[in-house]
Amino acid sequence: MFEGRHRDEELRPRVLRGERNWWFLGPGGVAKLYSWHLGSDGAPTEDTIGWLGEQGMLRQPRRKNYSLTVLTTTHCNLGCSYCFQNLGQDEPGGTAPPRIAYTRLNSATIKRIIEFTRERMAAAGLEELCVTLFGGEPLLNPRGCLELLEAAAPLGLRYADMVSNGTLLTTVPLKRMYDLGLRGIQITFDGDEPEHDALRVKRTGGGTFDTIVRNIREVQEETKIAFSLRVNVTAENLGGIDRLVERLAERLKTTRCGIYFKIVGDVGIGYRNDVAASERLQQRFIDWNRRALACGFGVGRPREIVPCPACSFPGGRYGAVVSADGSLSSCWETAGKADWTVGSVFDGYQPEEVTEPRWTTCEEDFLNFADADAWQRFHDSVDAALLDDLVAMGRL
Amino acid sequence: MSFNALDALRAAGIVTGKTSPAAIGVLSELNESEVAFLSSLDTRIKAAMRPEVVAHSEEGSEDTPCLAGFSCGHFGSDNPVES
Repeated sequence: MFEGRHRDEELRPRVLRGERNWWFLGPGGVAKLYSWHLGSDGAPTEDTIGWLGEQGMLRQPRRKNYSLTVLTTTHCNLGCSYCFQNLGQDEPGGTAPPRIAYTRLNSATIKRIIEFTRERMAAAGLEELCVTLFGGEPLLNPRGCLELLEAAAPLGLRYADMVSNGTLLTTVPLKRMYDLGLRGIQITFDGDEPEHDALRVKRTGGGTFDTIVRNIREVQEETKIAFSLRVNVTAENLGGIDRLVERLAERLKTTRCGIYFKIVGDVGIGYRNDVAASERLQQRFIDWNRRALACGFGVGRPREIVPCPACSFPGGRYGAVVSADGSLSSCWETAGKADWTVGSVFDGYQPEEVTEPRWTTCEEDFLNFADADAWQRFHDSVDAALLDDLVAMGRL
Repeated sequence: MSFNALDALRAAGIVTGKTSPAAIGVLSELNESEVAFLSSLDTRIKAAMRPEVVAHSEEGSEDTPCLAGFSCGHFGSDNPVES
């Protein structure tokens, strides 16, 4: 594990070089800059900073939300070989890699999670709550999801979202969850259908692509829940991603789906993904974004560097990650791993000398790449091209 | 010491590494008053051409959980469902 790169409250601006101009991404929004707005170091000049300040581009927001992530179960019905909740690799051809210990959220723990959250929100002077239902596969415990959302309402639940594998989506419980505040579900694809079905497998064996797409469509027909489609990019699947975007566009309501593309890395379990931050791969990312926009998908606007409310701040000031047994982690990546526990909702956070070495942050998965600077430049270029396209299309 | 137009124009940021050889040829022949005028004009144009705000952030957008890609702050890209 590595130490995170930001642990302060500020949202940090970025300056990206677009095709015809530079883009300033600040906490207040996006501004178009030209070369004379930048000094020889590439940073905005003093005059430019003054002007950006006058326009509210540098205004740091007042935090008012507490971000609560809860694993409703640590169990998952899939056996993806790269999962950060695996404890190692399965045998070749296997579909059930060893996972973190099984626990399941129950009523007593939910009650304590809510009390803990109320105390934390009061201590930080926060008014609203955002909940993320996480797992394992959270829908293996639908009762836990519903009970948690019901219990969270009195705390000022602003919205809830869920990270699901999509294989268990069914309309009836999701309608109830929507009524209780669930507004978005993130689903991951591991490439086009053949590659996805080879990697994103049931623990009992067999592919999942068709089931997931059919389930999303059904939920889209029956609810207003939005979907965020994450596409994991590996050396094996990148050749089929154009086709994946088209295939999803043919079967889903694209205007109610966001889509984005992410490299999968090794979190220390021996999963290999031999991709480099090459110009060719960079162009593929740019083209995938363009194809997604052309198909009508939402594509997230690139932003300044935003600290994570759950893990960017030591001591969990603005959020917490709670495993199904009530144990606390700094970050989703270490949730459910006993060696990385930083406390529990029953006893609070452990002393700083215990939590500090365990306080991983969710940016650290990228730091596992050998050349983080090259990947930073890679993503800056992809984001700059996306901003060029969004502005040209009037979709910023 | 004789006046060097290119040095003055470089100091004003008008001649840069990207200036074409043809332009450098023309600019190198400017006299002191022409360089002063060009520098003044350049300053006025740049002052008029301020940065352009193209989008404001939404209220509360800072609080999106950075979770498994929902809003990956690693490289500043978030992932709202917006279109």
